[in-house]
Amino acid sequence: MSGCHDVAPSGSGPSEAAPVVALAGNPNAGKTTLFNLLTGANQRIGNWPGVTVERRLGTARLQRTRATVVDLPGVYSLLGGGGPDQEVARDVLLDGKIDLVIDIVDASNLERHLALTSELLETGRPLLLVLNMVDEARANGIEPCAHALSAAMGVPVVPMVARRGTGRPELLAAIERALAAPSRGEAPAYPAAVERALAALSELTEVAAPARSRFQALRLLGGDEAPATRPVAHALEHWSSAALEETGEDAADLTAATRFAWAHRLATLGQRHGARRGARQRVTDAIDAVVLNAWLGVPVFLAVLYLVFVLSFSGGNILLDLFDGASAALFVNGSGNLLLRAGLPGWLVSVVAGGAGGGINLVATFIAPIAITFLLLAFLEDSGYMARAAYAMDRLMRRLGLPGNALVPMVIGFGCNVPAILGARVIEGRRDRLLTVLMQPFMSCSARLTIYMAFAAVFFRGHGGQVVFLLYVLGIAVALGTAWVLGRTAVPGTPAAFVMELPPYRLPGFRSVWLQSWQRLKVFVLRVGRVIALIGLVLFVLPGIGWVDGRLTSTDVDHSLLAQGSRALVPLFAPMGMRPGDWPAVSGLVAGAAAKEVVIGTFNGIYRRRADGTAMDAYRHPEVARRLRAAAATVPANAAGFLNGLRDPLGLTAIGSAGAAERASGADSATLRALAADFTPLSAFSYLVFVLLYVPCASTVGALRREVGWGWTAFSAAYGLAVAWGAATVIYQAGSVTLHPLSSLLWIAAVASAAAVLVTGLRRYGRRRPRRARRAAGAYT
Amino acid sequence: MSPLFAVRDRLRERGLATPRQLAAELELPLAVVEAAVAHLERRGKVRAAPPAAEPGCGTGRCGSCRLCFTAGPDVPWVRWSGPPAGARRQEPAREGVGRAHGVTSPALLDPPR
Repeated sequence: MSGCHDVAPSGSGPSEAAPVVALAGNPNAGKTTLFNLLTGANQRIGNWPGVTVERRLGTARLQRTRATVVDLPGVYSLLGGGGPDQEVARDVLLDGKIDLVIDIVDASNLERHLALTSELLETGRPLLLVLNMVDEARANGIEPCAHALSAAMGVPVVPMVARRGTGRPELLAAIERALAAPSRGEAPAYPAAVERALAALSELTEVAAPARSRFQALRLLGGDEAPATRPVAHALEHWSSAALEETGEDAADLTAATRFAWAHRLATLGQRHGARRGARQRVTDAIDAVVLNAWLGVPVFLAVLYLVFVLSFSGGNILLDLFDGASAALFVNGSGNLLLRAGLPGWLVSVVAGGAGGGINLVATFIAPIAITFLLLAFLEDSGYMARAAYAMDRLMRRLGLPGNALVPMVIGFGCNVPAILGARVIEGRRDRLLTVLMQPFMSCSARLTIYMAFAAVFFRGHGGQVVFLLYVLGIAVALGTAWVLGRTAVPGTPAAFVMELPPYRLPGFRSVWLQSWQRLKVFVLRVGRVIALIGLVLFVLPGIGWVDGRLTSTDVDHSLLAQGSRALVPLFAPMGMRPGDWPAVSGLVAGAAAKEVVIGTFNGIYRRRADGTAMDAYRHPEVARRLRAAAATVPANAAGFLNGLRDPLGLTAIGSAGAAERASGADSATLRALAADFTPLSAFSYLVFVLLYVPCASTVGALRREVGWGWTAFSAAYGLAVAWGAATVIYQAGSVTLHPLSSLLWIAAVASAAAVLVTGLRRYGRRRPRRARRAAGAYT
Repeated sequence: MSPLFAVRDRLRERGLATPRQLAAELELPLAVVEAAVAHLERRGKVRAAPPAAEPGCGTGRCGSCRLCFTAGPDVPWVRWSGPPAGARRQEPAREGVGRAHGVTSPALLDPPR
């Protein structure tokens, strides 16, 4: 399934005889931006390191030919370090069949980025240097000198601002020239003693590729790799001693110092410093003093997140009724009328207009708030703030036994859990990676946002943003709590150092923010919407079939197979507030195990089926124009409500009866009205908590299995189900404790006891089977 | 002189410093100093020194004194733990793959610019 997953397949496949161009560089140098620019793809970009964790292929049309472009994860060094994502880049750069390496460096952080360039030159591959972000360098008072850099390095250098497309024609021409006449440049020269040691050790390594054997020798000499055989160990000892005697320095330090010195010399040649550096730095420092502050960083992050959701929901509310009313008029009533006029039978009109049309209506209703959420998140990502949020969370994360960069996949998880799980590859330590992966299913993905929006529109109309924010924060809290518990019980250990480079602050570009938001919205509308519409159609038919008088026959919805099966499960959910008549909610949960967006599709199918009789009247008399006018008339009233909401941002409505909620909802959609009748605000919130936390969707299960194996995947699903049930039960029982104090307290005590048993079991697992736990933790790469 | 050796020698001389101090004194980009410190840390020549290492800190817990509050998310002291100047010692090759090259924990370092 899942519609919500934004892991797009690779761009167009490589051409048969096309030359291969690899994009290499430090994380957050702008490789994917350049990849999109060269290939016309729309791969996700972000102003933080670690957005790309796998290689991607695309085709670039040059002036006379085409080239296959390989986008690689960011890598700091070819010598080692980092997570599996950096290993992917190293494998391609050292062993891959590449005709040209384009090294993208950040012109505002040139000396640091040239360290990788020195290593790329050592591979002996044809190289082209892209001096990216020259605008930011200039804003920092640094004037890049591409010609001087090119002359000193012996490779072509192209200055660019990739995110604006500046320098694209020059780059295409340079690629064409570099493919025709490759330049390998001049690698840093190590002292003679080191070169002799490298030559000797390279010969002893059992590696065919010359670049790989040289880098293996460098790793041996640098102490990054232990010698595999006794002759290699003897040679290493001999040549290291010889280098120490000859130079007075450790060979490991000498090799690194040579590259540092080379990068320093090149950076000095390749840029001139102006006088404006101080002002920009002071602004950055002033902002960072707040957002990275030990005490303010986390509250600031939560405040920002709160604002995002309140603004999204409240702002989106202005257009919510317009989209709802207009789409209902067009896709449900209008299409039903057209189908009736075309002479189609009533049952088919009901299926198409009520099932599929109703699904479209439901998706369209939430386009506005979801689009605003995506816009604001993209703005934050592009500004450089999200990377700082991860940095600010580092202290809290480490106290929970996690590295700070575990927050990066978590933020990605707001869009979709699948790329978030894959994004955990940026984390170096296996234990840290396992914990980070197991946290991801609790992050609220965009598919779940649809469910929140539907319920918030009905039960928490005035303060839906706060409720959605609360659910997001609850997801984060449960994710962190999971890591904390597992890190102290089943997977003990200490977190590795946080590997993260802070990007510069940028005023987000309109194109970049729009593109990112549009990509996510498109996924929501097309994929999630398609699933909801299709499920709505299927579930419009399914509740019409039942086992009556010993045979399968058509029946009303309340006697259908779906109703009978779901009713059997309702008692399991009674402690979280479900009543026997709430079987559609159980159907939604069962179907939602495949894909979260299906929950709403299920409601849609069932409730529209129930309302089918009245719907036929609406198909015969659609009154499309009047409904469209009425929908448009809601905009000023909702705008006024938005302004009122700003005056009362923390107002909390009383948790009342279903009737009060139905009156308060004002929802036009039949599905939303039916929702209001079936839940109270309290049971609705408990239900939302269950939806937030219970089993991951099918695609997330697939990603989990791929990253951590079946054992941890099964644990994740069972653990999620247990946590969801426990949390929803505690919330409902605590909220209704005045109605039935004894049973509520017993239920809460039972959940607490079960949690204690779980923790004890996990601790025993971690203590008694450390080897097995370690194997399990390392059962993935 | 290579920036790596410049950082190493200054740190050996001072004993304790922050990367930001080293960057200012040596007129090097902070990110380069951080990369140099990360290399020296991998080589076992420097280690993170919590504020407790400072005589002014009485509690021994990072973030518990005013110094931490005003200095940023974590006070990024690093302490020289290699051989003193003039000593010659061969570092044995270590097992396993090296840590990330060029970046390290914010517990150890300032944010790179």
